[in-house]
Amino acid sequence: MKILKEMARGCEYEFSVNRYPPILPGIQLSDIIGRTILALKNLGFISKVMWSVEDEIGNLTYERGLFDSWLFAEGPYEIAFNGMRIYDDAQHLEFSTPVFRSPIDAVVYDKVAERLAFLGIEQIRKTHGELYCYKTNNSLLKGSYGYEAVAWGTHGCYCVSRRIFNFENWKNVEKILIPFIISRIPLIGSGGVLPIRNEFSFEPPTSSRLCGDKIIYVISPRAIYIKQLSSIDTTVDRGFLNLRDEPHANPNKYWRLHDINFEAIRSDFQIFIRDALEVFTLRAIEEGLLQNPPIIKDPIEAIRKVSMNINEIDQFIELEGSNKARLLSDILSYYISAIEKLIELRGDNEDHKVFKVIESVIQKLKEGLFEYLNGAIDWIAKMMLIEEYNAKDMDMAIICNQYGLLDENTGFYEGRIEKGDTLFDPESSLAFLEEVFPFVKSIKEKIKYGMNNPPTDTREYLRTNILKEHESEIIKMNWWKIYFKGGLITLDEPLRYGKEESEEILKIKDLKKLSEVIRGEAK
Amino acid sequence: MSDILPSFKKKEKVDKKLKKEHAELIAPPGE
Repeated sequence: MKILKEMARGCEYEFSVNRYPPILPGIQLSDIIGRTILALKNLGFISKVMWSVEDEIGNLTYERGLFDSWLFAEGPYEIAFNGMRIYDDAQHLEFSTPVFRSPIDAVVYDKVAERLAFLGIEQIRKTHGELYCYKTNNSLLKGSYGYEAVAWGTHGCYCVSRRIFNFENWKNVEKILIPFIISRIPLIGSGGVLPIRNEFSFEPPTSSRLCGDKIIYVISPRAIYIKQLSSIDTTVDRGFLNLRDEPHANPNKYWRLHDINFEAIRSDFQIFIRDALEVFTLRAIEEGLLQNPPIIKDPIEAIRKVSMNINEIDQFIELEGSNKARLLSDILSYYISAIEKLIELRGDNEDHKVFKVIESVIQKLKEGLFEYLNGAIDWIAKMMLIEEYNAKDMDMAIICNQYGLLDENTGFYEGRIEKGDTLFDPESSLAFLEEVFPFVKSIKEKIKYGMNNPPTDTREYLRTNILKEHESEIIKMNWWKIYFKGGLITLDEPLRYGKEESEEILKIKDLKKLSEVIRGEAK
Repeated sequence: MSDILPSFKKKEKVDKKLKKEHAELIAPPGE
């Protein structure tokens, strides 16, 4: 892989946790999630070092609020030895992966997050009863006045060039990326059920609570919650694009594209191609290969239409100027053509192979050959389970939730054979990924390693090794800054400081000296 | 093109029961 290894990125997963019978959001949920995180610390996955909240400059008030709402005398401990940040994000159990640089690690740290979540929940069940953790993006509640649902997030973070991604050029970024976000839905959708009346309705209209008198199955539940083109907000008035300027790296060189419209998917293959498609597209933008994309007339209406229509994926979408274009054959194809040029210019055989597979998935979707993709694409897997069970009404919700259930089955990737109730089949999911991409080798070993270790080819290698060796000397840290007694280490290049580069640095046992070497002030 | 992407091999029949415990998923809005 060449192009696919050129970009630093990570993913943020919010998992929902609740008891059965379920409790309403509030202090009890915070208590359960906090205890789950403390259990992971007691299991040895999380360090005692505190997160540097003051550096969360893109979202400081919110982050201070999270810190202040921690219920326990000790903690909050958030920094895992594998480089993850694990925390209570407003009553969701959140796992932010370490920075990685390949779609293989996108899969690895996704599965590590699933496993860690279950291991924590398993501990709390011993004292707090029947608890469940789900990898989904929306709630669903049936009450006497109908159905209601709210959403939470799965976010991709991609470290891109500030030369292109900046506030001054944002209208252009919107122009280029919004048609992509709409047309990729059939490839990255998770599938789920949502309330609806005659149309999707937020009640009250200023809220982010969907209400309805019936429920329908959609390709992308998360897409329905988008209300505007760009937003700083991620919880109510969500945008196609997020304006948070918080690069976690050299701010003069990088912008962190906070893609808040990822979804909670479980298929290993789909996680892989979602990451690859994102990197290819963003690199094509950086190379100036996407200058004149098709402009969709009403993006919010279009993404809802795309998410709802499971019968004709390659449907017509209205463009500005009263033209129409097909979703996949024309709009997504525009991006695919640019990616093909990018790979011709700079790619290697593996980049090319991944690209051809993505093309092939698109072709299957165009032709409606869903049976080829069952289990490979989550929204198709859930849809086919609904058909298989002949499920109606809330049974459709059970299927979607039980598919996202993080239970004993997460141990499959660690070589365990315990079976749970989840409808997701990790064995066939991984087998398909390995069949399509034979170069994805030893993924189970990588997942076992990833439970306690970061990728070896990004700055996470140095950051977490400093953490492991100097835990008691570190006051606080975040993604790129380590505050120790008497100094600060700044790692502003996320693709540097991998194993090879760090071996010599890690021989220095004095943190002050080590910080000087990283700054280039000493050898 | 179809050679590049094999057909997904899934177990023939799903044999797990749907459980009422998973019917209602409740959590606050987030992100």
